[in-house]
Amino acid sequence: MAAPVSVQGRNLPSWTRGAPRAAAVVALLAWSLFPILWIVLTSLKTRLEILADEPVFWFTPTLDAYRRTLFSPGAGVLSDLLNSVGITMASTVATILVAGLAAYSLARFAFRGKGPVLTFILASRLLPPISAVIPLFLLFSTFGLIDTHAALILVYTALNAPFAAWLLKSFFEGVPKELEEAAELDGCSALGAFFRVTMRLAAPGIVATGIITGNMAWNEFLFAFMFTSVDATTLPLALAELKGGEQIAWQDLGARATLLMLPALTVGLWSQKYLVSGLTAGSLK
Amino acid sequence: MMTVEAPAPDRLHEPPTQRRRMRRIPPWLLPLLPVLLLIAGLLIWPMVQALVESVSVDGQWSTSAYEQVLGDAVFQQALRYTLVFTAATIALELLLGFGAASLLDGMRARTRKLLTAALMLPYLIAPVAAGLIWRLMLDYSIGTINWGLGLVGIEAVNWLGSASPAFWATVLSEVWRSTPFVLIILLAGMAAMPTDVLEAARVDGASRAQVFAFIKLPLLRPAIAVALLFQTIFKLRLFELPFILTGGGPGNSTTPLGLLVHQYYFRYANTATASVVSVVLLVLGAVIAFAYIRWVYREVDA
Repeated sequence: MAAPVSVQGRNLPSWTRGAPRAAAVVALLAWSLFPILWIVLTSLKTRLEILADEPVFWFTPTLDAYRRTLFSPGAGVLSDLLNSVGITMASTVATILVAGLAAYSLARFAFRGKGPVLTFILASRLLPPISAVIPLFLLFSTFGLIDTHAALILVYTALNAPFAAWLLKSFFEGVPKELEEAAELDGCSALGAFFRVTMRLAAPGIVATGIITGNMAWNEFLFAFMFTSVDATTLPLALAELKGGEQIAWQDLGARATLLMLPALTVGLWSQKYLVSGLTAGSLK
Repeated sequence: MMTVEAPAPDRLHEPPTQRRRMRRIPPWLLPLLPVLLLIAGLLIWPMVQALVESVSVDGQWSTSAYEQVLGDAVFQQALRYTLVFTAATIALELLLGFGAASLLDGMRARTRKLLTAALMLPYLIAPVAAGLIWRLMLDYSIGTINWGLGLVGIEAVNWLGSASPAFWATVLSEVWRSTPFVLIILLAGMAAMPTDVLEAARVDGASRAQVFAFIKLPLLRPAIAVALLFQTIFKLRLFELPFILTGGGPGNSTTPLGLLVHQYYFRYANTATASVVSVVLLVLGAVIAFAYIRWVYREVDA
């Protein structure tokens, strides 16, 4: 008689222990994902559906906002998008190249003054870039670089290089030096051994670094906002237009936000493993 | 005689100047130069320049810009906002991130990875997009938050139009966007925890609360410290999120120091006062950076 009661008694607490956990997970997912979903849904609605008294969850999606945003003359968002793609790719490649070289030196050589160099790189990664913005604006004005792609590529490379160098250094150090030496014994040059052995083994780290710096460049607002006006404007700026006034065209702003978020989210999800390893290695090492 | 003459033929066969030059440039220096030049030219030099600009008026040494800025009520409000915002967001992010990490830590690896991927998404989104998203969510008439509050019988809040709700609106959207970073760092800290120590404590009769307070929390201290320092550093960069969400208002109640740099420079065309604000941010950043660098070197030495 006592046995079934005790079994039930044991089952009940485990079920009640599971329920709050499940509820917490659902709440966390809703908190993280609903706002993203909501702006995407808004971009697919008509004006009337957006301004309805109660939120509309079920409707026939329309791509009108995207058509207007990208292809109507004078919207300019298509050129913002292309500028963003070009500037992000160029600055990411430049960052990896420049930071990779530095990381190679820092990971493979012991020299006097290495400590100060590391501190210099770390400090420049931590100080607020906004403190540099006004003198840079004056400098770029002098050289006629305001509103050019080159200005943003240069700035983003400089902003991301300290972080990338720090991260790549830790990844290069993860590859045993003995492997490189073995390749050198087999007839590789020192640089050849580095490219063929260390670079290949540290490839996941290089991908992680590229993804994170690419994301930062893609999302950057401050410098783009201050340094561009017509020709080199990037996509994040398109989200700050159309603000103010009584009637906000939410479907158009939603479309712009979606165009900006979608590539970042897709790349991020695809490379989630690298991203997590990069973010943790970048701060804990 | 032999030993002195022996090297002579060798030297004749090799181009001496090239050899000497090779020896003078150490191999570590060249690959390091581009990064150092880039950082020095585009980050450090401008920061030093801002420092110089902040104490010069018409080419003369003067602290009048400091007097002007420090006495300006707008600056005082921006400083107060930046500090309170930083404290509030970081407290909430640590709390939420810690809760989420504890929840995920006990799960099977596959479930944990899947959930981490989903919960990480807000962190990938541009701050400007996050500001826009929450401006839509918190809209007085069409926002889903007020609609949800209405469902449980709470009156609609004018989130973006009055000072205190606007402050919490900026806090909320920043917490939404950047908690995933804290989550990832804490999750990594929890994963690195030695399970045998925890087990031994439990075998010795420690309660769950005791294991948490005396073993887990101290072991997590480095991860918490890193999350804290980095998040503080990032909060000083606050610019576009309040810019798009509240426009820095109502009034200037949610204007951070970063936005003030822009206002002083572009609205009032005042290089000196804008530079003063830049320097204030620089000093705040340097204090935190110093703490972090000391922490890094202590970890390396340990």
